[in-house]
Amino acid sequence: MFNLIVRRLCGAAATFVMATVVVFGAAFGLPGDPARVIAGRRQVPEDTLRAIRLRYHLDDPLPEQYLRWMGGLLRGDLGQSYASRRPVTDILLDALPVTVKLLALTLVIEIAIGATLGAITAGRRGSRLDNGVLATCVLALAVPTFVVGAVVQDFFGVRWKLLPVAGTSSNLSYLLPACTLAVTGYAIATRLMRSQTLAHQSEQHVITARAKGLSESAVTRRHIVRNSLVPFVAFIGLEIGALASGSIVVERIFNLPGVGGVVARAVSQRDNALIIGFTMAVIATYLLVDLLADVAALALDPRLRGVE
Amino acid sequence: MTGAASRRTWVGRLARHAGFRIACVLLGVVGVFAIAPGVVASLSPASSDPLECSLRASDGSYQDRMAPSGDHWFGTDSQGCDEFARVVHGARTSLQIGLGAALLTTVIGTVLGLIAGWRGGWIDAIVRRFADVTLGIPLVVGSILLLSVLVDGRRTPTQIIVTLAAQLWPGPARIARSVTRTIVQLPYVEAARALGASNYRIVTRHVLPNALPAVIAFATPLVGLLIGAESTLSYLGIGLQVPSVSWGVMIDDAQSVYANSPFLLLFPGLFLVAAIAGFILLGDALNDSLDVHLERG
Repeated sequence: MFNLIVRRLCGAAATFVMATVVVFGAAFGLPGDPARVIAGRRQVPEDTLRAIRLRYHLDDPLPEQYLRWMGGLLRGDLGQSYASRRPVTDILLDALPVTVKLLALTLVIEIAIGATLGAITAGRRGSRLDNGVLATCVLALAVPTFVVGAVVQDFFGVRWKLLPVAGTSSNLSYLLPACTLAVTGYAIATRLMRSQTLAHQSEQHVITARAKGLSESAVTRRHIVRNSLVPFVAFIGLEIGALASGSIVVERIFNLPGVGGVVARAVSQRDNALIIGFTMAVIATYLLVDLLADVAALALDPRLRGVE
Repeated sequence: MTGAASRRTWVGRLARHAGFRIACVLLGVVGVFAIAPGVVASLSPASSDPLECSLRASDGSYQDRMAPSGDHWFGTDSQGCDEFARVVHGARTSLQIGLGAALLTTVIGTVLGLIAGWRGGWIDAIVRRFADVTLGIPLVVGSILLLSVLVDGRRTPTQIIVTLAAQLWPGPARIARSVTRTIVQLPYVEAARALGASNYRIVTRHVLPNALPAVIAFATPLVGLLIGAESTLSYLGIGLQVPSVSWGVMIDDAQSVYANSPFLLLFPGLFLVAAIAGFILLGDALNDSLDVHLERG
């Protein structure tokens, strides 16, 4: 078990190093003038470009630049935002609590609804309810987040005035953005739970449990639902990446001062230092969550420990 | 499943699939729009050119953001363009990007997966690590990095296709790799090799046909995902820009005027959803009926 975890950790570290090469190579190694990239391709005098080159050591050989950049990363230094002149790390950390709150609420909503609907529909396979839920899942997967956001904001916030539409004045402000963001994830969670439940229904230990006279609700609760929830650990790991994408859209619609909102603004300001720093932060987070999900899966399911 | 049903071929299973029939209707409509936008758009009394717009009608009255009417079936947008013509013409751009990116993704992924699974060793290790890195960067984040940092000036559909495919190839690569590794060990491949078949012949005759059903079932809903991704990139300001006519560009335009003219968002949104749902349903249907294990009984 310990060896497995160490091996996964080394794998994640190797992936991270490779990611730094890819991102650094894309941003600084490809043909084109990085100074112009940092300047956001605005029309700037040659003097400014020279100052930028000096400041970011762009005239040094590429490997030396990479090592300096990498050294900064390891010390938690993601560089300096070109637009606000503040360290990227500070900007992202300031915005992080809002995004963490939003993503946590989103995950709770999509897993609670998805697991419940998936278990119910699997129990009544082929019924009108099953078909209806599956149809709404396809619809939920098909509607882009920004369309859901605009419509939800208009109805719940502007027309019916039930919930706050923007900002973070109260905890209620997170409800609409989280529900919007959860639309895609709940559909995936429902489909996952449904297929898991169906697969477990005909397994030997479930048949044994039925044969020994356990009530149907006890079989479902103890033997089917509990086992079906195991893949959700991996689901959370994968979903973090999708939610990082989604939060950029949702935080822009609902004007939340989170990481996604900061990035959306950086895109329109062409603040490339911030975008590159953010990309590295997301990769690190994703790898970390993925690693934790792997370890959690190992802890939950002893059978996995024998693999490899 | 009864004996008759299991004997039916995958075409027969597909034809009886409820989701497949709905998908055909949805994709049929969108497909006709994309193939002959000029013909469909000219059905309405308004001008059928999505870019020929004027703020004022011939009688001098303003005609921007007019509600849907007999003349302008879907209303007019902020520039006074006919929204119906734009929705119809937008189908071509959205489908172009969706199909193009899905095709490129599938080709890159399948080739890399085949090579990795066939060669094994360090080539396999590198491809897998690259796939891990690629999967670690969320689609929107990676697209922002590639399109906003690297691309200068006006973005073209090709740039968007390449950006999306560069990030999504690990999916088909994993499928192709695992199928290749399974097939390579089978006795008939060994027999083929003993008979002197070249690597090329074994890959094209034995490996590829076995990998294709799974790859196609993966790539079909991917088209829908990519159409959605194109519109999301437009919304974030890193996708196509005006004067390109795509549903994403139109929806982005409509956001700011949603309170007064919701129809400008709802009409392109409706067809966007129809196209994406069509590809998801088609993918589900293919997944159910192309199932390799079912085929083998």
